[in-house]
Amino acid sequence: MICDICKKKEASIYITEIINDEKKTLHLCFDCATNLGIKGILKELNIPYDVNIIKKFLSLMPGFIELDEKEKVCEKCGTKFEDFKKTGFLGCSNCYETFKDELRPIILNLHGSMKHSGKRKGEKFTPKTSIDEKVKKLKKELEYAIEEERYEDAAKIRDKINELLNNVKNNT
Amino acid sequence: MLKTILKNLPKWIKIYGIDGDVVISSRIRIARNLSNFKFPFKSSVDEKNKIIDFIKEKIEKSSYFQELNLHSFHMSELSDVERMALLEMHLISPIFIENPYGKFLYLSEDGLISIMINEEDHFRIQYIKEGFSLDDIVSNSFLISDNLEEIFDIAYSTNLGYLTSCPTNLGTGLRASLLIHIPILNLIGKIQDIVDNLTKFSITIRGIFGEGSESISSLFQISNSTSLGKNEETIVDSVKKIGKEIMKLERNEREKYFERNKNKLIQEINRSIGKIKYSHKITYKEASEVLSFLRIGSLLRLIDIPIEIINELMMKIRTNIMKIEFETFEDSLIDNLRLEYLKNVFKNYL
Repeated sequence: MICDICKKKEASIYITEIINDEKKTLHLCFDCATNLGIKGILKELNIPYDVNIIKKFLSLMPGFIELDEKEKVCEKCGTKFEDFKKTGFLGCSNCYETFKDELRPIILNLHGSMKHSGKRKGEKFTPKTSIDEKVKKLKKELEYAIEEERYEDAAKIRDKINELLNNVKNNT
Repeated sequence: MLKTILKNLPKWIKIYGIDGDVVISSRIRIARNLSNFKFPFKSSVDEKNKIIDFIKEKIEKSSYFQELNLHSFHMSELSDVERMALLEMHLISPIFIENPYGKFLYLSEDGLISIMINEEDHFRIQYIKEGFSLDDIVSNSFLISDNLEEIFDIAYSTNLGYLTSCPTNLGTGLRASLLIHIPILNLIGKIQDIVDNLTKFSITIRGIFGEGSESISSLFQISNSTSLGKNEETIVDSVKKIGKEIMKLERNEREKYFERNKNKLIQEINRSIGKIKYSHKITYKEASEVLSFLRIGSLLRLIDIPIEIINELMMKIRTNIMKIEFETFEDSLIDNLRLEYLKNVFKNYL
């Protein structure tokens, strides 16, 4: 990725801002990041200059500026954040609470999200696709298979449609 | 029991499923952890064994799991060859054989279901089926994890979803993957293009034994690379969508390639047949390449070998599976035995 500012050098710093699911990423090379400084970077991202935001911002950039905080240790399993950095593994589910701030940028970088939107604990998994839709989809696939002369596939798809329809019949 | 499973091979490799010309099999993997225990990585062997005992006791009492009729194995009680063969059959992961102590496996006799205990996470549920069948297996896989949730206190947070030992699997804990055979795209050098294009869709493509493994005989695995922020169906749909795109590409290119290079292709297939007929031994890699060409030949009806047989052989010829077939641990003999095996199977066809 090329630096968004000088458009010449390879970007080594990626800053992603997510507001209401809208994602904006700034790619910077080291030189441009140094030249812009925190104030300049915030301006590029249209974020107002505010002391609390700056503090938050710095805490999201491990290694950029060391904060003089005591090293945190997970009270349930004794894992230090350093351990995670070395191995990539956390020690227990409580580590996610203990290292919440440190993990935030890492999780965002991995998934582009911090919000689980799958099934919740205790909920049963129910696929939203109804049998009708499945049959409709399969019928289309059947058409393609016949068109492309893939008769073996076509036979299998036909069996599957029958199986689905039979299930409905048996259940009602 | 393990011997039977290892000798028979998993059911799905022997069946030519829907879209089986490209998609050999579909796999769903779900990661789950117990909330009151340290993750396996942080646990000693003693602690891991305690976790196994705890899990076993509850699973054995559950009528749902009794009905699944799973067989169970302490990994430390299996031989190296047996462990490696299970890996070669995709029934367990590379991490699972690294240090076998404190690791436990539930396996269905047909090789469709496996549950690894104390892999990276306390539970790794895996469900595999032949062909392009993610829709079929996703419900079955979640039925297993939902039933685990009924008998265990599973680690979960409202924001991050199901908590996993490595943040890469957070959220749904779901990985949906397709094992695909794309020899023509490989032949015309299109794989790198696909790899480069996929990252922006949060999909990865890699070798057949997962992360860091190389591709052998044009077999690749495509899967979702993110698991948090999207629901299970969206994740499965994204893998399906890319799978369909790649399938279309391979089919188109296969036809084009066949039109333009028919003679070259026939020559290559004949050379492959020659390698089986006239050699004395054959390495796994060589045999895999031979089978990959024979598979194209079978799809284009240039040779008369059923594709199911080629699929099965692609797995059967793997070194440790061969060792179990021939009941030998002699590495030096395997290349000879492999060729003998191939000659024997193909004698009716070539």
